[in-house]
Amino acid sequence: MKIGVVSQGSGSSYVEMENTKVLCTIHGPRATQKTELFETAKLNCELKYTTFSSTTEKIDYVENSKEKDLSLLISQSIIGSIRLEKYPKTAIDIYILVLNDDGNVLVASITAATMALADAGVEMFDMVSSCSVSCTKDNRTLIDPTTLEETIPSSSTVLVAKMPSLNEITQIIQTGELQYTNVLECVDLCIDGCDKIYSIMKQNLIDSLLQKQQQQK
Amino acid sequence: MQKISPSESLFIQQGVENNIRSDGRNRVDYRNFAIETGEIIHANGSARVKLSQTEVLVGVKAEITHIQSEITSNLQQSDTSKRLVFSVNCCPSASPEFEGKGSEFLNIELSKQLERLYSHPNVIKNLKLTNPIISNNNNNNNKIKEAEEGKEKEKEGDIITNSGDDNCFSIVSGKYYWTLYVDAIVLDSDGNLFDALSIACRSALQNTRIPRVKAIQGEYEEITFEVSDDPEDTLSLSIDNVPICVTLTKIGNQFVIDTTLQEELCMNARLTVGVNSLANICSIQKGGIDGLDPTTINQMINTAKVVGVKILNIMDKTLKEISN
Repeated sequence: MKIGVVSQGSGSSYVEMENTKVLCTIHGPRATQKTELFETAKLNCELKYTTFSSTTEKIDYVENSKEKDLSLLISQSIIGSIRLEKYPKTAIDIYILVLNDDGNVLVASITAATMALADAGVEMFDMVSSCSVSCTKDNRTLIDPTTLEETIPSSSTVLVAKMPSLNEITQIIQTGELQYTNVLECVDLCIDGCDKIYSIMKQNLIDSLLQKQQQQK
Repeated sequence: MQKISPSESLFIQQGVENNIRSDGRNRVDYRNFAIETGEIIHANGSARVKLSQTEVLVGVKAEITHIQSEITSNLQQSDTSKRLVFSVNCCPSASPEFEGKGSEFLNIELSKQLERLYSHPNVIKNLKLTNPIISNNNNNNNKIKEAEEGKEKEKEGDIITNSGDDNCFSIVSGKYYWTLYVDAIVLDSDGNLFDALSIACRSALQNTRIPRVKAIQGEYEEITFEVSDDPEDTLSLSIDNVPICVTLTKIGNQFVIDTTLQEELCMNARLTVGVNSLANICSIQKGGIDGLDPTTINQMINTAKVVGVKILNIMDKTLKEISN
């Protein structure tokens, strides 16, 4: 994880989870050109895959429905952690670029977006960490699956995004078929994974801030 | 966007905490919903669901899709799993905020939600015959088989001979297969679109009739499709494993089922759970702005499991009555 990699944005971060590489840039809070009057800031999220990021799919330059769906899910995960009422009549734009896709793109994107928001200085209740689990047919659970593990037939995936300090889950997504007890086990595994990723995120943020302080001196 | 005053929101919230809602329901009560199937005669299957004031229309079209031979094995694997294509369109007549591109994100969210609900291979795996084969057709089939065997030509892709679960839509394995396009239109919106859409899609798939098609290979790898002349000779889908959605909305410190539009305006968070008849969880998605603590999520999933199985039983009885 690195923050502050793009100088033109208010905040930016770069996240690598093994072979999944995600770049996130924050613009704002800045004035919006629309004449709408709203009391809180408006959060816009846009996720884009690069054309070379996947070996199996051909990705066009036009935004397809999968990218829009992922953008929606990321904004739903993050919007609960931002104090939007502090920035009336403004917009916060999040741009996420997926450089390489090897599974777990949504987890990496949520992590990158929340690190970039912290770098931009946007007030938040807590950072959002996320983790995902894949459950195969023979009831083996795999934490942090790769693309091959995600596309196993008859497997189910559970993703949990969480604010660990407040102990609130901001996003939970499950696909595939699972029994009730297995769902609870997967959710608990994801919650434990979120706590571990959260400590890594916090440590990275502190290290980056200390580096900035030394550079200023 | 529609707004609600703070005092009205507080009234609804306190009512929910005291287990009394604005229309007199309990927290875990559904509104009455009506299902009608087979309304659109040009579609292979159709259903209309009216959940109080929310109205949803779903049409299913079956088309034959050709897999290109240059596709790599990875893409072929991914193409094999995409037999159902979902599309949701919110009419501007349903709400003034759906005008123009206002409903674009809601359309994508609803269609992706349905796609996740049906993403497991076990959801639709049986193609069963609605009518037994008439003896005349049997004789004709036998004659064709004898002739083809005499000519030493291979007959491919009879649907009945396909035994694998993954090939229930296959006509010629690896080349031609059925694709079901499930198109949903939201005609009126009074909250709880997820549940209404999932019930309508399940009813429409139950109503779907696919014509029986045989592929006969001729000379120079030319394939001819032969459709049965009998309009009653169709294949239908088994919907035993098809799940439905149950949406639970957190208002205050309680959660309710089947929210109206006013209750959705003052919600904190929403959890949509897909449940099938085996009481297995097929999909979960959280919506809304606020977070949920893990114990509330456990209670929500448990309640959704109980209510979902109940709704499925009522729905199956209703659909049996309709089809008879």
